[in-house]
Amino acid sequence: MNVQAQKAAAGVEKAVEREGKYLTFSLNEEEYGIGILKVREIIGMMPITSVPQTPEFVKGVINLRGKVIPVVDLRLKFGMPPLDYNERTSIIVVEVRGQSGHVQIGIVVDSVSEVVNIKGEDIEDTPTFGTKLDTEYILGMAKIGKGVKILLDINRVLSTEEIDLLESQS
Amino acid sequence: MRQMKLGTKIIAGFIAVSLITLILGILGYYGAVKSEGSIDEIGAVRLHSVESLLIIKENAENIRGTMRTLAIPGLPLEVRQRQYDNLTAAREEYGAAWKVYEPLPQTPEEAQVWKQFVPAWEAWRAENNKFVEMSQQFDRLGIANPMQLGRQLERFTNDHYILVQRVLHLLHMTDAAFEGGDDHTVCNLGRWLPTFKTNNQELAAMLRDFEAPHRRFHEAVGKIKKLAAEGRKEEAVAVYRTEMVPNMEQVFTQFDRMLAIVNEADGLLHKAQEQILGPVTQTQRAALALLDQLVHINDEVAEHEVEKAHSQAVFLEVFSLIAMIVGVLLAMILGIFITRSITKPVNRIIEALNSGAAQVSAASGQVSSASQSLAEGASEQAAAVEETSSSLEEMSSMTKQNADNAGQANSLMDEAKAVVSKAGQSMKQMTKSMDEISSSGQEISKIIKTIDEIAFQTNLLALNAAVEAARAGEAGAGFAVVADEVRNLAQRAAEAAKNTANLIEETIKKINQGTELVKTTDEAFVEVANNSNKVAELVSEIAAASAEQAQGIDQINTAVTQMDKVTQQNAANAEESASASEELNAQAESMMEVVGELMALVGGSAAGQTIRHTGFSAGPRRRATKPPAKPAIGPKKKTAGLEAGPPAKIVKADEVIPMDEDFKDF
Repeated sequence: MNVQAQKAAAGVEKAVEREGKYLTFSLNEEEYGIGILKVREIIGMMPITSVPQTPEFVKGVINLRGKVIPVVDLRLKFGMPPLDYNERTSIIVVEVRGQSGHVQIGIVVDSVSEVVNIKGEDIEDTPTFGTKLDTEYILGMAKIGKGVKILLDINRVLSTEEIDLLESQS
Repeated sequence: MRQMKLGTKIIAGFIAVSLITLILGILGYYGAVKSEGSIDEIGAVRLHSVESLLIIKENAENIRGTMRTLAIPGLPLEVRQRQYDNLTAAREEYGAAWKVYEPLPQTPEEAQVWKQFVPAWEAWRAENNKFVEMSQQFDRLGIANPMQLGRQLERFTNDHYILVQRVLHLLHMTDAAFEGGDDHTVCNLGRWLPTFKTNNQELAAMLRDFEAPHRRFHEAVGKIKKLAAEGRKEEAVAVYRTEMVPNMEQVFTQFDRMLAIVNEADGLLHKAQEQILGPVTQTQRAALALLDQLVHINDEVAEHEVEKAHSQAVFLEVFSLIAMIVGVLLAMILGIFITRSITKPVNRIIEALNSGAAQVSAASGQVSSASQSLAEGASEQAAAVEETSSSLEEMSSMTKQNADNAGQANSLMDEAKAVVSKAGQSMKQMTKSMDEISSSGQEISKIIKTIDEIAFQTNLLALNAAVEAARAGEAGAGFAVVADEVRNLAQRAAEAAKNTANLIEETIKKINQGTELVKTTDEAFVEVANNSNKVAELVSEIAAASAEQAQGIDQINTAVTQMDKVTQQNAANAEESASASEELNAQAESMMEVVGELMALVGGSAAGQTIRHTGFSAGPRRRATKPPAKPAIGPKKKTAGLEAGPPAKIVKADEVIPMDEDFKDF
C-alpha cells in the first residue's frame, strides 16, 4: 500500500511536473507536443543549406536572422518515411541542453497546431509496447478531446553525441 | 470424173485436144530444127571448110609449080621475079582461106588431122623458104643458066687453047697457017660477051676486065700471024711471049674465075634442085596428103550430114503421121466421153428438179396455213404486251415517288447536318467559356492560397507570441490573451479561406463535370453527325438506285413497246408469207416449164414432154425438221397456243436433189 501510495504520489508529482502549456504539432498524422518553455521560435519552411558528412536526419543549417541553426528532420530521426515539404511544413526552433550550454536546434515538423494548456490529470504515462519511439523520449500521453497527443522530452529525443555534433555545426 | 464441174470437164477436153496439137506441133518443130541444123552444118560449115581447103590446095599446087619453075635454070630474072611474086600472092591467098577455115567447127577426126597438117605445112613452108633463099642467092650470082655458061666458057677456053696451039704450031712448024683468030669480034667469046647480061656486079666487072686482054690476045695472034706470014718468026715468038702469053694468061685466069663463080652458081642450083627434090617434095607430099585427107573428111562429113538429115526427115514424117492419127482418134474418143458425162447427170438433174418443184408446190400450201396461225398468235402476243406495258407504268410511277422521297430525306439530312454542326460550334463556345471560368477559379484559388498562407503565418506569429508570453510568465499573461485572440482571428481567416477554397473546388469540380458533359454531348453530336452522314449516304444510294430502277423500267417500257411493234410486224410478216407462198406455188409451176425446156435441149422435144409429167407424181414426200423453239416473252399460255398449229415443213435442198448417190453409176 505504501508502494502504491508512493507510486501514486510519484505519479501525482510527475503529473504536476508535466502540467503546463505545450506546443502541439503533427508528425506523420500523429500529434506530438513539446513543452513551450523549450520552444524558442516557430517559423515557416525556409531554404536549408545541407552539410556534408552529417547523419541523414540532419538536414543541414538555416540562417535565422543572422544566426546559423542546425535543422533536424524529426521524421527521419524517428524512422518515419520522409515527406516532401509543403506550405504547412514548419520548423520549430527548440532549445536543448548541450555541453556548452543551451543549443538551438530546428526540427522540421509536418505542421504546427496550437498551444494548449494541459492539466496534470490529462497526462498518462507511456505504456511500453513496440513503437518506433524509444519511450524515454516520451514524457507522457495527453488526452485532449477524443485524441491522444504524445508529449516529447526534447532533451531526450536527441542523444548527447548528436547534440555535440549539432553544436559543432552552429 | 464424177465429181468434176461441168465447166472443168469441157475445159479438160479442150485442154487435151490442145495438148495433142501441141505435141504434134513440137514434133514438127523439132524435125524442122534438126533439119535446119543439118543444113546449117553442111552449108555454113562444111561447104566453107571444103572451099577453104581447096583454095589452100590450089595455092599449094601453085607454089609447087612456082618452086619447080624456080628450079629450072636459064630463066630470065623477070620470070624468076614473077615466080617470087606468084609465091607471095599464093601465100596471101591461102592465108586468107586459112583464116576462113580455122574458126569453122571441126569434127574430132578432122581436128586430129589438122593438128598433124599444120606442122607438116609449116615444115613444107620452111623448106620452101630455104629453097627461095637459095634461089635468091643464086639470083644474086646473076647467072641464069650456069651449066650453059659453063659449057660456053669451056668452049671459049677450048677455042682459045686451040688458038694458042695453032699459034704455037705456026711458030714452031711450017705450013701451019690458019685462018681467023685475030679478030676478037669474030671470036665466039667476042661475039658472046656483048650478049651476056648479068646483074652480078662482080661478074660484070670480070667480064669487062675480060675485054681488053681478050682483044689484045687476038691482036697478038694477028700480029703473030702476020709476022709468021712475013717469015719473022723470032719476032713472032717474041710477040707471042710478050703479048700473047700474058694476055692469054689473063684471059684464062678470068675464065677460071668466071668458071669458079659459074661453079658456085651451079652448085647453088644443084643444091636448090636437091632441096626441091628432097625435103621440099617430101614435106610437100606430106602436107598435101594431109590436106587431101582434110578435104576427104569434110566431104565425108557433109555426106554424112546429108544422110542424117534425110533419115531424120523420114523418121519425123512417119512419126508425125502416126501421132496425127492417134491424136485424132484420141480427140474423138475424149469428145464422146465428155459429152456423155455431161448429158447423163443433166438428165438426172432435170428429173430431180421436176420432183422438187412438185414438192415445193405442196410445201408452199402448208406455209400459207402456218403463217395464218402465226398471225393469230401474234395478235394474242400483242394483247399480252399491252398488259405488261400498263403494269410497268404503275411500277414506274412508284419508283419515281421513291426517288422523290429519297431526295427529300437527303435534303432533310443535309439540314440536320447543318444543325449538328451549329450545335458543335455552340459546344465549342461553351467549352471555351467554361475554360475561362475554370481559369478564373484557379486565379481565385491562388488568391485564397495567399490568404491561407497569411493565415498560417499569422498563426505562427500567434504561437510565437504565445511562446514568448509563456516565457514572460506573469507579465505576459495579457499578451498571451492577445496572442490567443490573434490566433483565433487567424483561424477564422483560415476557416474562411478554406471554405472559399472548398467552394472554388466544388465550382471547378462542377465545371469539370460540365466539361465532361460537354465532351460527352459533343461526342454524341459527332456520332449523330456520323450517323446522319451514313443515313445521307444510304439515302443517296437509295436515290441512285431508285433512279436506276426508273431507268430500268423505262428501258423495259421501250423494250415492251418494241416487242409490241415486233409482234405487229410478225402479224404483217405472216400475211406476207401467206401471199409469198402463193407466189411460190406459181414459181414452182413455171420452174417445171423451164425444166421441160432444158430436157428438150438435152434430149430432144419428146423427152422433154415425158419427163415433165413423170416428175410430178414420182417425187417422194419427205418430212422436214421442226423450227427452233419460240422466245419466252409473254405469258405461258400464249406460247402453247402457237405451238398447237402444224409445224412448218422446211425442205432441205440436199435431200431433194440427190447429187451424190446417182453418180455411183457413172
